[in-house]
Amino acid sequence: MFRYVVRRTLESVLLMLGVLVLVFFMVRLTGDPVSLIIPMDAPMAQREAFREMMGLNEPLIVQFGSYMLDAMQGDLGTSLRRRGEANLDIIMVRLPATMQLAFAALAFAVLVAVPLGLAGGMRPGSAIDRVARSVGLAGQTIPSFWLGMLLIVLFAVTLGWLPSFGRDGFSSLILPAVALGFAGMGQLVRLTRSAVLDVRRADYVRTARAKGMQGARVSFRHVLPNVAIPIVSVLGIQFTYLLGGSVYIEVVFAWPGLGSLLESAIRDADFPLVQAITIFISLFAISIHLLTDLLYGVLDPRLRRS
Amino acid sequence: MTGSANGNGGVGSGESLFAPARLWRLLRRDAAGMTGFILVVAIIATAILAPWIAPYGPTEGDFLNSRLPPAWMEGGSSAHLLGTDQLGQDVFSRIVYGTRVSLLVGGLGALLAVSIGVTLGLLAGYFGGWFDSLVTGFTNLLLSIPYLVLVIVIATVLGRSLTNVILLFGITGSPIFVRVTRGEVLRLKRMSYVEAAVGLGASAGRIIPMHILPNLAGPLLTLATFEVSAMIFYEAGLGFLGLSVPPAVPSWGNMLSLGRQFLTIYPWLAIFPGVAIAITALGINLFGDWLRDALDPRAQERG
Repeated sequence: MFRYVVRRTLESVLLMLGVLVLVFFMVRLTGDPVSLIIPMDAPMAQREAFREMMGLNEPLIVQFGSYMLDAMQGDLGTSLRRRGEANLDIIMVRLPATMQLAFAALAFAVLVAVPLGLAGGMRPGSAIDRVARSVGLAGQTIPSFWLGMLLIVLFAVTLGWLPSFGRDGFSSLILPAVALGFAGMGQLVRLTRSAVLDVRRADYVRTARAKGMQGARVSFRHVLPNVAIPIVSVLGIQFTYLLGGSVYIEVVFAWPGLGSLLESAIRDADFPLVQAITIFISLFAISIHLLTDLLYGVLDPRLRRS
Repeated sequence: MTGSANGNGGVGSGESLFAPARLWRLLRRDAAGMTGFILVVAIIATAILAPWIAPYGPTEGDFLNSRLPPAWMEGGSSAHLLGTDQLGQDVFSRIVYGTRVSLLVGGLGALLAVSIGVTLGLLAGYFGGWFDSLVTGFTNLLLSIPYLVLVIVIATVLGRSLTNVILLFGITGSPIFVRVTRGEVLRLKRMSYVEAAVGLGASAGRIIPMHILPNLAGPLLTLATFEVSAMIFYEAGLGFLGLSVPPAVPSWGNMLSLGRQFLTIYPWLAIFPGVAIAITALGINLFGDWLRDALDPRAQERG
């Protein structure tokens, strides 16, 4: 177990360093950042002053070195539009809103998908199974941001039950969480259903039934614990996906999180901030993956040895 | 039994996994797969025949009839089935032309992703060594950045054009194909018939096309099908954020972006392009589900 933890942690640290390198060159290789930010017709002196201020006069390798050193000390640069404000501070202010939305979306997905997939998988071909399969398919075919707009039209504009934008209490969380969690819910239903289909043919389930154990007890005592392992293993991936998907949903619902911050940073051509958000979200995602992998190792001892 | 999918090595039926007669027979028996197939054919036909299907040009503005609701709603006009936008452009016609952008991005993007991914995956898996470490490392790196964020950032840097969008999805879509190809190659390399071919002195130039590629075709084709649908989704998402093709180009994403601005007053502008995306994704996914089963050699006895 110890070696497994050390190996996975080292892998994650390497990936994080890789992300820092990749993001730096992704932004630099595409041309002169100055021309992306300062208008082409701006006076030469202004362009040069900006170049000087951003440290873009230094050789690339020097820029890269100081960028890496800063990043490893938790310094992700300063925003262009909000002079002097550290990118990390701006991100930290927005982070709780995104976390709240992502966790709510994940909770919605799990609470709907797991019971539905379990019920459908235990009785293949039944009415509840048809519902489960339809929900699974709908998750693959309905774009989240479009669903978000439909929910606004129905529940906010037409019925007037829930607010259509902003972050103001629980009622404002419902629509964005449903829209964001919908695709993941579809995937989880399919996964749970097919895991149940596999498990219910297993010897220990057949034995339980042969002993006369009834439906619900079999589900909770024997099927669910074994289905939990594949579900936990995709939750980390799901969460990463939600972080990305939140960009669209936060824009639709004007949710004041990291996603809408990224969108406005792009609109303002605030490149240092775009770079910082990308790095932050990626490092965050890598950490989540590491945590779920370690948790997975605890749940399933077979994995530690491989 | 997964030995050879090329030639006539099919289990039980004695015909190739890819024989059109076999696939057609399987498709006729599968209602969901058939629905998907018909939808996909209809969508491709719509893209090709757009000028004949659409009653108006995609950028043809009818200012006297702007912001019309759909024909069946009060104030709607039978001349504009799904209504018009703020420039008087016909929503139905723009959706019909938008099929072209979506299929081009999805189709060419997936084709590029497969080409890059399979080439790198084959070389990495077959030859191993430092090249393998490099490719695997880079693949893991790209996959560790949340995909939607990666795509948004690259799209911002590249700028808005159809070619850039196709390149973007071709490159960022390739890691998954690298991973699948490499994994299959490593598995196939240990199969006795490949080891026998190596033992008999066959070169990589012969083993890869003769023994490795034919066995990869099924899983890769299935994966690529789903990837087309995913890329259509992502393109629409980029368009929605104003990061895909230029705003004047009729694309579903651009239409949704416009729809968002007028969501509370003219909701149909946002609703109908989304319906087009959902129908397309439904068709591709139903077809893909069928294809996965149809091309699985282990399930072939059912054929």
